[in-house]
Amino acid sequence: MIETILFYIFAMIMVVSGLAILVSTNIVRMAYWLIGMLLAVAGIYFLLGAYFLGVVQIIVYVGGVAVLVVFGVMLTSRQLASQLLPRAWEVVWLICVTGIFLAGLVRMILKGPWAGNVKQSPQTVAEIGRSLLGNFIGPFELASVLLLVVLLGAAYLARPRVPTLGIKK
Amino acid sequence: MQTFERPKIEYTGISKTIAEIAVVVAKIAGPILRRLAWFVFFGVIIFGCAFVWAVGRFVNPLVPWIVRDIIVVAGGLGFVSLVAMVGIWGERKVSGHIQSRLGPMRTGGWHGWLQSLADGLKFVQKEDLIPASADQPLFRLAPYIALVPVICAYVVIPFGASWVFRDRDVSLLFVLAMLGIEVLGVILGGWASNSKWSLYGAMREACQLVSYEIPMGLSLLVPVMAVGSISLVQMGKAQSGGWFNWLMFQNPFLFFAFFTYYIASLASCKRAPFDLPEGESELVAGFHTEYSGFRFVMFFFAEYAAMFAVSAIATIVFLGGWNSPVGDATSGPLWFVAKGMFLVWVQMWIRWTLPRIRIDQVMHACVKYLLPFTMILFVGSSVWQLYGSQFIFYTRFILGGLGLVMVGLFLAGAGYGYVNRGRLVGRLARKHLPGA
Repeated sequence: MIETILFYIFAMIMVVSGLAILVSTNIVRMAYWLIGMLLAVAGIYFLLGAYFLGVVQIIVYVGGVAVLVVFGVMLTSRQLASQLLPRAWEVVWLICVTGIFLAGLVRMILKGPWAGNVKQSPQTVAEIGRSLLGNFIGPFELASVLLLVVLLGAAYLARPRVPTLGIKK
Repeated sequence: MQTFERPKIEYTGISKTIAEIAVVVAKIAGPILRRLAWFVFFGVIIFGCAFVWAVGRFVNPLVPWIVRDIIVVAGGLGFVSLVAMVGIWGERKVSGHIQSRLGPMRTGGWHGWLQSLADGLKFVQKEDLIPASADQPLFRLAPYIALVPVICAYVVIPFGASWVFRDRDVSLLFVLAMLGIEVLGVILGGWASNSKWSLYGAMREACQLVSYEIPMGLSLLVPVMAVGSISLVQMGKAQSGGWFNWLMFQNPFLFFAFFTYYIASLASCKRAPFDLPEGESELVAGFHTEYSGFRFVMFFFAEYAAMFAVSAIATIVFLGGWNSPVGDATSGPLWFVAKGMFLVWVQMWIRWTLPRIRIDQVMHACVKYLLPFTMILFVGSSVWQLYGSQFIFYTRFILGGLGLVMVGLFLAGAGYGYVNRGRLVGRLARKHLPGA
């Protein structure tokens, strides 16, 4: 009973803030609506008993990415808002892509094989740790290598274009 | 000559009611409290002990969970407010004594102990100014984003073995996540004010927090590896028995991890020497330059609540939490609060001792020194887990002895200061004290 009510509250927050991201033209407000949506998703994870997933959602998305979004966004000028309105041909493309995506999602939700009862473990963290370093060690290590590559790439892109070392003026 | 006359506004609504009630209460209770200050002081301590006993005896075993939850949430909110009030008063007293002043002395009689309450009432009556060019809704929202997550963090902090609102196996991560959200409020407040001072403060906060989160997390991983759990209750239970069982004294890496965590936590609470987001000498008041009245109080409250939250994590993870240093007989929430408040006091001590550092020095200290050091601690601790278990007896007593020597030196210094307390404040200042 109370879980159903909470689910609808979180779902409503998600839908409203998702729409608000699209409607608002101020880029910082968009970022904060996005944070609201991510927090509501974390709330649904908590409701499902997936505490680790919910907390990681908050730390990674809200605490990390959103801080970086806000940090980058604050450096842009406030006149950017008018440029963010899509043009007519862009709208057509957007409708096509999102329509196909929505159709796929709806079909998956309606026809997909949903597991009836998911086994709930009281020690989620320990089991996640065991499976990350047990069965799924390959994908886990690949993901960490990918992140390292991203880190190096970002450092490469962010350094000054012209190497100044050894060049005399 | 034309003079500008301020339009007269009759204030109505809840703030006026609060102010009126406060004036009536102060008129009646003020003289009584002033006369009975010592009784109030000891009464609060006795009441605290009685409350601790009553909660353990009657509230914890309650069957209807909603009743228990309401009581515990009310108690938690009260505790956070009390911590913030005592913290703000203590900050002013500590700063005063370090600078050879007395700090607040008048309000309430005994050493100005009612000063925070008087300040709070003053702030309630202040006008709520919002700059015309500010982003109104975001400006109003920011203090709530700063305050609410910090209070949420107290949901999973255990005050005792069974003294926790919700015991989940991710509680350590949950507290870190909530402290991470708090920063968003600060950044938002700085941006929405539409003032360059505020924006600079917010930028510094974002910059500093994103970099200091990494050493903080890494130094918390060291005790997590030693215990094998990220549940705060499990970590506290693993350290019962006496001071030499505390995680800080288990191996040399944990001993240093406590200090790296403490430095990083200073940065995450924007305490000096990392209080660049509100550098008064450069940025007026940093991110809360444009805030006035109760919105400013909310930022202030959030800072002091966060100070106790990070100190509580340090207490549970490194210093044994609610376990008493001598045996298990006296373990309980009072030990936890005492250790946490001691660490909060150390934060104040550091703030009024060290000068503020520049932003490039902050980043330099993090990336070039703190981060590699915590990585060495992390790797060293994992090697110790494999091969170090045969030295556990010696390390416990060597490091525990070192801890005892530190406490002894601290007590000796405090005693020296107490004996020579007359030298701190000049005779002129003492002559004008109430009751001199």
